[in-house]
Amino acid sequence: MESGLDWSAYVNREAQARQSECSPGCRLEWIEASMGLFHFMMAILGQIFKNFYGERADAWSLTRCMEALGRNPAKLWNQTNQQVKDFNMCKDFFDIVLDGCLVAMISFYFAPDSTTLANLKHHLQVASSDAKVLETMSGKLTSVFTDFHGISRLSDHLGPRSNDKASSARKRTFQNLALFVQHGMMFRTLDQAIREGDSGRISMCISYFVVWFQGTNNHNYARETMRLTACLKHIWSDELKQFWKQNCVVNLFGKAGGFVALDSVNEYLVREIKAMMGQSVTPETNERLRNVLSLLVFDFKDIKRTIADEADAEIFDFHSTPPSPWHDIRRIAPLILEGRLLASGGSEDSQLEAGDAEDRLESPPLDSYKALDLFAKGSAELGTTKAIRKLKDGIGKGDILYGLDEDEEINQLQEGEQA
Amino acid sequence: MTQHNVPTLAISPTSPQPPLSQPMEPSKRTSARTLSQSKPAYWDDRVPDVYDISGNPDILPGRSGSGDIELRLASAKANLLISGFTSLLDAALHEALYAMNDSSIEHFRRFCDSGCLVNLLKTLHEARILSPTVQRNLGQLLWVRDISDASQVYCDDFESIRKSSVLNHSLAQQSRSPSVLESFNFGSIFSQLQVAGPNLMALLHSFVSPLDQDSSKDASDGKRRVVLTICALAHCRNDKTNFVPAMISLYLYASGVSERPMIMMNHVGLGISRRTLGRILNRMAAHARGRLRSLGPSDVPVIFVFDNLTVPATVRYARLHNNSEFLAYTAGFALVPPASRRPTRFDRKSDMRAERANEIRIDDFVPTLSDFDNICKCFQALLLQATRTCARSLEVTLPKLNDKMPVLDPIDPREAPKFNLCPHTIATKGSSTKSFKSSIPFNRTSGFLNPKQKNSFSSFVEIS
Repeated sequence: MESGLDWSAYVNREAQARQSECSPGCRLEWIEASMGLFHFMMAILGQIFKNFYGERADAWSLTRCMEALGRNPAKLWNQTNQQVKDFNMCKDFFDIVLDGCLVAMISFYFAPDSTTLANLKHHLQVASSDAKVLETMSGKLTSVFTDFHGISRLSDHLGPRSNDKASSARKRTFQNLALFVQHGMMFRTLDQAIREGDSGRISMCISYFVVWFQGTNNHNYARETMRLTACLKHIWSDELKQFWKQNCVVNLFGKAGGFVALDSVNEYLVREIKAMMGQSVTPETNERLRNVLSLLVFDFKDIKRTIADEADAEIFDFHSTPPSPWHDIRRIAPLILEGRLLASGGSEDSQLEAGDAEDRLESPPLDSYKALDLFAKGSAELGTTKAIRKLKDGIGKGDILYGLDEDEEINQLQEGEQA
Repeated sequence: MTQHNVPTLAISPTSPQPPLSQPMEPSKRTSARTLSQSKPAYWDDRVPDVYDISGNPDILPGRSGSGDIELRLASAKANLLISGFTSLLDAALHEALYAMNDSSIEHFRRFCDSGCLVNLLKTLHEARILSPTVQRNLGQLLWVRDISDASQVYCDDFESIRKSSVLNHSLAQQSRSPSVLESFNFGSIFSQLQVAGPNLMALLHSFVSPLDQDSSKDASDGKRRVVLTICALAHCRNDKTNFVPAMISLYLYASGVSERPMIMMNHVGLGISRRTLGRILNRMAAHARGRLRSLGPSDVPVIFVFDNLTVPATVRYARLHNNSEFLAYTAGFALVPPASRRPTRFDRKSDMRAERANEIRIDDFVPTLSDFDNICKCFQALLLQATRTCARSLEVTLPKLNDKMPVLDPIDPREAPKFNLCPHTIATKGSSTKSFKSSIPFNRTSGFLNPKQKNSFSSFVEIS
């Protein structure tokens, strides 16, 4: 069983725990709860926003990018609850920012002294004659961002040569940017794996995110990802593992790249049911909505598609061309290049070093915040083995809640309901 | 008697009556001798002359070439009427459907429609080849006697069309199943209606045929309009002949069209009434519930997915009993994976090996080396994708790059699972067990959460 919000999977287990003293037929033993991948992605994106939100005065922060792109921060992020307000809107924004960072990295690789994208076209034209140049570039940049334990050391190694306060802030700024790119690429890898329906890649991404969540306050996902990993590696039989892998995402129309998470399908269902709600809610309309119309959402979808196809009305699969994000990307990349944020770091390769470029330019604004290295912090948290012991004890004793304190349980449920 | 070359004739094994001519496929050809032995009821042995496909006169063996022509015509007319045809033209049109190819039918129709037949009779009369009596009898036989006979031909066709099964799928009586939806195909409906009433369909189709033969207009467009016309007329005659209008109304309802346009569509014959639509929806919902119930006793592994459904119910003017408040529900569905992606059944003891919890170690939660290799390839692919996007925007053509992610364990996209929606329920606060119970509408063993409530499926979901 998959459930949408993070607390719902927990609710299932709590329900099983409460039913465990009932007669055998009512113990809900035929249920195995699991988390939904769409809400999992929402939680990851929420962590990224929380980690890199920063302030407008920072050299590198999502708030500064919002300002540069003319977005209203209040529509994207709820600072009070620390949650994204609209997942799709936030993901679009995140994609633009990440692409802007990657373009800045590519520009910096070819021309470390350049503070604009003016020469990028020329460099790409030169590089286009040989694919190896571009593959070398991607390989070297990859080596920077896949050093999961060493981005902080990397900035120490390649950062400014002096040890004054300003250089420390510059290292922090570079580290924030590099961590954003690393975390963002992890998120994008999971997103593509889900869309392409590759459960092997999804499992691979979860093996990183299980570490991430250990260092966050998101205890439900920390526990759920651990439990899922344990089940995939030890607890579940091969058939059950294969069942999860083959059905964790679903393709509604048989198209390549058309896979969606199961709870994402449920979001569609919720949206359709909401659209069918009348303006006046009475017991009669409520009854009809719940027991008749809500059962027919997918039938309606089939009918609409069949008749539209028969009438040659191409109203499905009729996607308008999305606006090119290049205009926005061109506004994000200069934030990085003009601020010389990469010049304080780079890679061990000489091509990535900025040399003394920063000495010749004015000092840009620096970051006032320090983003968490989720992998490093999660690894440290995992190293205490507290969570693993709880998990082992719980599963071993058949305790579905595996040792969660009653108070903690109630608090988390309340948090979930508030969310 | 001089032995003529016997023309080769064709017989279709599916024809209710043997055809007169038309060699369609060599393997199905038969001789005129064979054909004469399986003659249709209206075939008059005393009529000597038949014509082969080229229009050349021929005499079938065993037939006499003499006799009173008036008697033969009267006899032929009687046989035609006994056989259910109003005229020879009607019979010929009927035969043509089975015996001739499309172009022959078209030529024959053009000949009749152009008035050539009338001119031929007139010419024969003026040349005094036929006596007036013979000419009148032949005209009556060949052509419809008056306009009422013409309308009778089309009325008979319309009646058989109206009663054809393709227009009488009752969505209100039988639950919607995929086969009903699959049967909704304008081309297929048109073909079936053509069989039921060929003359009327040919007449209507001639109205939508392009005047310009070279026109590239899609033929299916004309067929759709003919089917819709027929359906509107059939619905007018009998309210129960409403398959196509019902589908159109369902489409409009599913698209969120409000009630008023649907009433108008009903009154112009292209939709059904609100009440009938309600009955169809109830029936479909009952069928959906039945599908859901059937999952319970089966051993098929099912994936339930559910989520909160919270919506603010706002009111413009608040009253004592009319306040704005949040409505909290739980909405979900049961997914049945395709057979290739599910085992026959699971067993908790053998598939959930809790005793193996002791084997869990910290290493299990750290990415492996192969994970690291794969994530490196993924990052590299992402960087190359970004490079390609950038180059495309800058109008630079890049060489072929390896910007594909590694494929590790792909799922086959071709097999779609089946969705069984659960009735969405009122979420109960303070008791997650009840909320959970209400989310899962059945018991694994019996198919019902409470076996006593088999007939009131929805009653138990409102646990409060």
